[in-house]
Amino acid sequence: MNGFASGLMEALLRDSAFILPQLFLAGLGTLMLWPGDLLFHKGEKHKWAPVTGAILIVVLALVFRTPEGTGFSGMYRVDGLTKGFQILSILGALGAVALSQRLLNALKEQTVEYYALILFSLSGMLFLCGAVDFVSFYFSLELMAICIYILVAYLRKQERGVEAGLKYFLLGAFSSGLLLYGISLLFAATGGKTTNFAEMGQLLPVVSQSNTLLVGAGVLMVLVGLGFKVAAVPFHMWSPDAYEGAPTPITAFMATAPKAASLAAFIRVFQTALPGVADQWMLPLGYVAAASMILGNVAAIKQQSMKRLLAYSSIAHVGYMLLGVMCGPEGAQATWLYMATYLVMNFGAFAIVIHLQGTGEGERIEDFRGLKDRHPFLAFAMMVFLLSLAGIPPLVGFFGKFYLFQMAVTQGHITLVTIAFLTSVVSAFYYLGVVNQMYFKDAPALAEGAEPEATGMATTVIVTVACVLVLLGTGFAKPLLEWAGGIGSEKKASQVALR
Amino acid sequence: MQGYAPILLLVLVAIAMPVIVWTLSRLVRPNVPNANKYMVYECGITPTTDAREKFSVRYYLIAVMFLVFDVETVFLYPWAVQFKELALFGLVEMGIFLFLLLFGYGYIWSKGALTWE
Repeated sequence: MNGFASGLMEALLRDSAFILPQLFLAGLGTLMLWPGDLLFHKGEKHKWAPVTGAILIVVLALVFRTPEGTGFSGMYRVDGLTKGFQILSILGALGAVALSQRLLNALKEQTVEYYALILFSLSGMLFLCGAVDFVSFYFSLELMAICIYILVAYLRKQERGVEAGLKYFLLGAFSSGLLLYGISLLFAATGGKTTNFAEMGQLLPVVSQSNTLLVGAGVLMVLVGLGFKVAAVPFHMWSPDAYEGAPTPITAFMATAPKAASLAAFIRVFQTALPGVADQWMLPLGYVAAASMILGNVAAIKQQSMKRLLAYSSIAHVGYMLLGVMCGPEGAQATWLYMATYLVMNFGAFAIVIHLQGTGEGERIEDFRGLKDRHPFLAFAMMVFLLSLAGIPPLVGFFGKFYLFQMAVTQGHITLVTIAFLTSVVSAFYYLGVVNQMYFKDAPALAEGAEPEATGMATTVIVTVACVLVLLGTGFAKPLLEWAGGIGSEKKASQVALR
Repeated sequence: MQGYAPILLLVLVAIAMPVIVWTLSRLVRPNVPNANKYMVYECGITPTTDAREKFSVRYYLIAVMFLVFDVETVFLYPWAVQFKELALFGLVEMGIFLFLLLFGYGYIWSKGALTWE
């Protein structure tokens, strides 16, 4: 065996420890499709749900045990940022699998492909969290996105699901094209030398002095492409339609897991590859963040559908989180913390929407009328989640917002924080509108002999856990902050890797 | 931008080529219009129906599968040429690649995509 090949072999064996969770996910996902699919007969496919859940829990454990470092010729990196966002993505997938059961059983749409697609897209997200090269970044982004296009159109007999999937696919493919073009411009700007984030971070400030237009165009296109993926205004048009048409558990999944991974990539790209050319993207990113906060919150006011309301609210929350992206390495932990709290509130709210949907309501905001009489606990929990989404103290949503805004103020983004604060007040208006429906409006008369349906186990567990976390989460703030402190240390680590 | 001059040249040649060929053939060829010449060309046989017909999606599936296995050989060929240099590493990488294809094949087979009734 000669030196070249044995060197590659050694590197492969050494570096595969970094991607063990993804190897596990993708390998088992493939085995599930074949020959695993032959294991359970038609009508028994729901047994794949606990299997998937077990796989996800093992992956969560594996992520915690993954060694830190850079591998695959500087393509992939494991550090606090990677792990932190990977954990959020896995939790999002776990929640989606748990919430899917009722809907899929009711529609008799249980298939092994549904779970395999979640696993595949999750492995894309895990790769995306640790991608430190534009090539690995783009590949993992596509792996994640393509699986989700299919999941959005999963209920292929429902016309609006297919419509949503097609819309999402067309706009997603278009934005990928823009992103790829931007990457190629940046690659050209470095003289065709590198696509590595850290190396680009050193080369670009030098190049941009003589080649401002090329670098500027590349940076803007990357910003637009990533903006599409996280659904920031003005690249958000696909998101309310896709959220509304997708199966509701997938909507909850889309609002959390891919968003966490995309934000990790956002932070990586802008803090490792492009910090030297901040004058090119700081202002546009600021406009995007401000527009997301304003339009997301204002458009949510007149929504009739609960899913659309949550879609617009997620656009607004992305605006807040982009504030964290602008704040440098310290902003990373604030963004992580915000995403973690958002994940909990969002899953709680979606669990309730999904439960009500199972009884034929919950899609429209009017369906929440008088919920306090039918399901006192669900109504209380929904109120907690909505108030937390609005950022009212002492709930955990307030804590996330407070920490993020404080960070942004110390970094000097005073105008943006003012906008963020004002739009938070606007958001309280429509969240409280739903609370008003639940507590102060009379319920429509129940049909003769109809009983309000008991909550299933998955819903009860998720709602209870999320509710407790939202109520008491602020108490855990200190240890969580200390743990999140490891996320911001990314910059130091990348400098070590360069030497 | 200097390195891109050959590409510009290639674009110009690519545009010039059909223009020259068309103009030349227009000048040289005899012009004898005939109804038969306007018919759809189908291997020299007179077409009987419209060319726009619905046909089974199975053709499409088979075509995609053919493409997958065809592209596979494109990857196998350079590996075979560089087999000695890549040694065990190449064997492992290629093994992973072929195994993935095998699983895909098993999947479509078990889903019945290959049955033709």
